[in-house]
Amino acid sequence: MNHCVFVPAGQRGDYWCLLCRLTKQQRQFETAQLWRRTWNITDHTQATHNVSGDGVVGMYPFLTEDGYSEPYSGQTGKTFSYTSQLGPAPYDIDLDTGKTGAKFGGEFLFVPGSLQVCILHRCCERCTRKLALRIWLHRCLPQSPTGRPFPVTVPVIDLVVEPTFL
Amino acid sequence: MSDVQTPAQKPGRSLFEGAVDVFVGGICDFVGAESAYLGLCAVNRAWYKQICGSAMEMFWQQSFRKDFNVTNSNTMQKDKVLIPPPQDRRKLRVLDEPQSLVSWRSVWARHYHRRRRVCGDSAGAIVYGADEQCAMMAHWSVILRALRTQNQIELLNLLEPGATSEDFCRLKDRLGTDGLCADVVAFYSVSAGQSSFDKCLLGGCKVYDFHLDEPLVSLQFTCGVDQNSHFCSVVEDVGMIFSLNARDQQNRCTVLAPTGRMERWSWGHFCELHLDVSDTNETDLARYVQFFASQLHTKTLMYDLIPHVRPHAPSSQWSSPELNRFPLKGPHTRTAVTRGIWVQIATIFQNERSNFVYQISIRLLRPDEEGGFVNSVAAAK
Repeated sequence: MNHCVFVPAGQRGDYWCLLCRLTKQQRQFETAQLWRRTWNITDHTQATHNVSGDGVVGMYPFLTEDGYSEPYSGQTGKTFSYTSQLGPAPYDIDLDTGKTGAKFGGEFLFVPGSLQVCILHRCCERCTRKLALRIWLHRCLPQSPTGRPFPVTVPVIDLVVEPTFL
Repeated sequence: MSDVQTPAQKPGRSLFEGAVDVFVGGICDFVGAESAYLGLCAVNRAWYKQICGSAMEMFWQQSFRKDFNVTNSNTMQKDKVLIPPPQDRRKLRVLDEPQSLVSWRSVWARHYHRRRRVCGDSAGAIVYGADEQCAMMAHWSVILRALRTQNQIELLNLLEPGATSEDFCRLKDRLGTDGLCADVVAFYSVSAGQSSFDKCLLGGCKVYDFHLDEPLVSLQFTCGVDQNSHFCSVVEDVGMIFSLNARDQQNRCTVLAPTGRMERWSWGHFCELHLDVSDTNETDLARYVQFFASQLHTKTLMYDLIPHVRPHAPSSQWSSPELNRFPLKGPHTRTAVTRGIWVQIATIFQNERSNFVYQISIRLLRPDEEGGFVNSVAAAK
């Protein structure tokens, strides 16, 4: 650890804040690649549903400080971004605030370094279009991480309907 | 169509009137005429408080049908499962009631507010009828059909700024209203004709991927319209239509979000959002429209459209930038950093499909970025 800083942040010293700054070596990776994701979905009845699986929407973004690349779709860019659906709005929506009581969050599991790039993917163009085959290859082929997988938090967010739509 | 009143707008009721309500409700319950009673409630809104549970749902459904003259597509207002393919129109007629998660009260309320915004004047009175709008849509269908087939360019001459309702009616009689382009119908169902948008930019994005991946069409150069600047996106799968009213350089953007896919769009199926692109809390959409506005003001219009109209104007390297409906900041976003990996989640309610969608962004931060190497930030009392 490079250094730690104690920051009294409250008016009367009631609160404090500890900033721990890591060096690149202590972060323990130069690159990382998404391996798995787990979603915790709380519906409007406060029941929780867990969904796990490999990658996100069939993609496994490989992150560097310069940006990302996705080996199977061929996408590159600065920030990896994707969109998906959560499901219908619940029956009872607060017509004043739009609150539904439902929440969405979870975590990613990243691998330091990278997952093994499938040679077959490079060779066979068809592989890139078939999600099931890609996942199967991911599971079967050896991988080459440089460290232990680590979780990355996806913060919990409330699902709220815009009052305009009520 | 009858004007719509909210229950809250009803005047106060006397004790006698309340007793009559209970009495009538009791009789209907006794004879099992629940449906008839709910129909009466839909007429007399003062009675709706007498019902509850599933009867309340039926009440709002009947109110929705009555107030908005919905006869053959009501179930689609509630459940996206029942969105039919456009070519199979016969199935639109009879649809079973689905198990839906959206309440009819919400559906009614949405349509009520939308109708006042879209089809009403400042006082809320309904101004534009469905027939008039269909006529206008038919006119535009000619234009876009020509743009698509590319071999009927002469039909584009039919476009004349400020065409009258009679012009549209004649076109409607000649062409019929079948086969209308969805976005044309959508736009004209809310714009009430070309004359009120004589200087505007139009665009759209698809439903699912939220990206503007359809080229914009310059109607100015396809139709020979004078100095007006018309752009219209030909989007089959309409997710959102936005327009910029560049008149007076107000930079006022109107976003029209449809509520579901219909056989034929009509009034009440859109909500209208107003964005001020000069607002400091600018969104991606606002920036996108602002870019459009700057193009308009500098007369650097975009011609990267249909090949056969391009020779009339200089070519442009401009391509449609990404249009993203998700907010970058604010209450609908959350951000976290773990071991230098920045994750942001944003959610929106997809009104046109009555469900939630989310977008997740991931980036590995540089050391000099905020949070780049900060492993933890702890706060305690």
